Amino acid sequence: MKRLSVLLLCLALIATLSACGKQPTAEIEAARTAIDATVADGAEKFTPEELKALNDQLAAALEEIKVQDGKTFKSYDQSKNALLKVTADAEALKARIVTVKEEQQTAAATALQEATAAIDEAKAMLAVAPVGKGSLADIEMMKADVAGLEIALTEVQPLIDSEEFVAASEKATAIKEKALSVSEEIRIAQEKAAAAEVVTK
Amino acid sequence: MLFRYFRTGLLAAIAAALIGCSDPPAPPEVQQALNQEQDLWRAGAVVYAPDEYNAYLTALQSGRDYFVREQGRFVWFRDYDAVGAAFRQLLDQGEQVADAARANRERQAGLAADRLARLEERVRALRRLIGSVKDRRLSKRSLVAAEIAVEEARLLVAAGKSAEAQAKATEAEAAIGRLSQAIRPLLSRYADRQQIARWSTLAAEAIAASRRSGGYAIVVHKLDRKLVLYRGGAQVRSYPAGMGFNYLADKLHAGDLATPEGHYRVARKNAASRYFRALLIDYPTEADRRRFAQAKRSGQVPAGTGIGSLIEIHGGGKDGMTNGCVALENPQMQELFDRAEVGTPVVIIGTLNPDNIVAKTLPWLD
Repeated sequence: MKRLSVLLLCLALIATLSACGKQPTAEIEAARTAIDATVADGAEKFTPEELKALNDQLAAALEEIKVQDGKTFKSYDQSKNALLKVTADAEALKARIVTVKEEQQTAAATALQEATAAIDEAKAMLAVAPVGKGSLADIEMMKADVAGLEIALTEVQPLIDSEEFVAASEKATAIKEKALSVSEEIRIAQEKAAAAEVVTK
Repeated sequence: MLFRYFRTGLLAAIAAALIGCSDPPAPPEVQQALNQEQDLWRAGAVVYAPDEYNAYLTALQSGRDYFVREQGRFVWFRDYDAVGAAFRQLLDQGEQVADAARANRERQAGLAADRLARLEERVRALRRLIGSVKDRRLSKRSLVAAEIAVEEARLLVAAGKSAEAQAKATEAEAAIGRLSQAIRPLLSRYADRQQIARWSTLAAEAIAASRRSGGYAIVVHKLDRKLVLYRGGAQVRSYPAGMGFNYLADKLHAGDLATPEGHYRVARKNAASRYFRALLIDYPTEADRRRFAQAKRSGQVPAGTGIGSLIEIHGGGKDGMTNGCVALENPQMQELFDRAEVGTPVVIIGTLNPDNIVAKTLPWLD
C-alpha cells in the first residue's frame, strides 16, 4: 500500500510538472493583435522606435516559448508575463501615438497658419506698394513670387489631410520664410520710393 | 528490494530534473547582440547599409535559433561557450555593419549637401538674372517652387535626413527644369555670339555714319538698359533707360510688349507727350514688315493682330516698364530731345557684351 502511494505520488508529480507547459496562445494572439492595432493607428509613422521595441519584446517572448517547447518540463510563465507586458505596452503606445500625432498635427496647422499670414502680409504690402516709377518691374516680379507662394501653399493642406504632418510643417515653414523675404523686399522698395520722394520734393 | 532501488532511482531522477530546471546564465554576448541590433536600426542601417544589415539580421536569427536549441537541451549538455563564441562573431559583424552604415550615411550627407549647395547657387543665379533683367516673362512661379523645395531640402539636410533631402533636391531640379524650358527661348539670343556680332555690326554702322556726317546717332542697348548718344562718332551721353515689359524679345507684332531691334530713324518729335517729351521712331520699317509677314505665315502671330506702331523714346522714368518704348528720366529726355532731330538714326540692339549676365547665367539652367 505504502509502495503504491509513493509510486502514485511520483507519477502525480511528473504529471503536474509536464502539465504546466501549455503554450500561452491566447496571450500570443492578444499581443499580436495589440501590436497590429498600433500599426493601424500609425505607429510606423509616428512612433517607429517604440513599435520596434514592441516587436523586439514580442520576438523575445516567442523565442522563450520555443525554448520551453523543447523542454521536458515546460514552464511558459515567463513568456506569458512577457506577452502580457507587450499587450500592455502596446495599449500604452496607442495613447502615445495619439499624443504624438496631435502634437505634429498642431505644429503643421500652426505652420500653415503662419505661412498663410505671411503670404497675406506680402499681398497686402504689394497692394499698397508704390506702382510706377522705380518699382513696377520689381513689383511684377514680386507678384509672380506671391502667386508661386500661393500655389505652393495649396500643397500643404493635402499633406496634413494625409497625415504627413512633418512634411507639411517643413513646406509651410519654407513658404513662410520666402513670403517674409518678399515682404522685406517690398518694404525696402517702399523705403526707397519714400526716400526718392523726399529728394524730389 | 527491487522497489526500493526503483524508488531511490526515481527520486534521484526527479531531483536531477528539478536541479536541471535552474538555467545557467545566458552568455552576455546574446544581450549585447540584441542591443547592438537596436542600435543599428536606430542608426539607419536599414537605409544606409541594407545588404549588410539584412545579412546581419539573418546571422542574428541563426544565432538566436542556436541559442534556443541550446536552451532546450538538458542543462548538463548545453554548450553556452559555443553560443557565446557565435554571438561574439555576430557582434564583430554588427560592428562592420555599423561602420558601413556610418560611412554611407556620411557619404550621403556629403552628397546631399553638395547637391543642395549647387542648387542654391543655381537658384541664386537665376534670381539675380531675373532681378537684373526684369523682363516680365522671366518672373516664373516655378522659380519660387524651386526656392521652396531648396529650403525644404536645406531643413532636411540639417536634420540629417539625406535621402529625403535628395528627393526634395530632385523636386527643385524639376522646377528649375520647367523654368529653364520656359525662359531659355527668351534668353538664348543673348548668349549667341553670332547674334551679338550682328548687333555689333548694326551699332558700328550707326556710329560710323555719325562719324562721317558729324551728326548724332542714338544706340539703345536693351539688355544693359541704356541709351547712348553719339556725335561725330564719339559717345557724348549715356542714359539709363527703361524698356518694354517683354523687352528681351525683338518686337514682332502689336501688343507683344517687346522693344523692337534694328535700324530706325526719329520720325517725329513730340514736345507735349503724355510722357513728357517723345521721339517717335519709324517702326515698323520695311525689314520689320517682312519679318512680320513671314511670322504671320508661319502662325507665330495671333489672328487679327497687326504689326504695331507708335514706338517712342520718351520720358516718364528709366525704371518704369513700357509697352515696347524706351523710357528715360525726364531731365535726360529733355537733353536728348534738344539734340535729336527728325531723321537722327536710332539703332536698337540686344547687347554688345558677349559676357553679359544672360550668357553667364544660362549654364546654370542646365
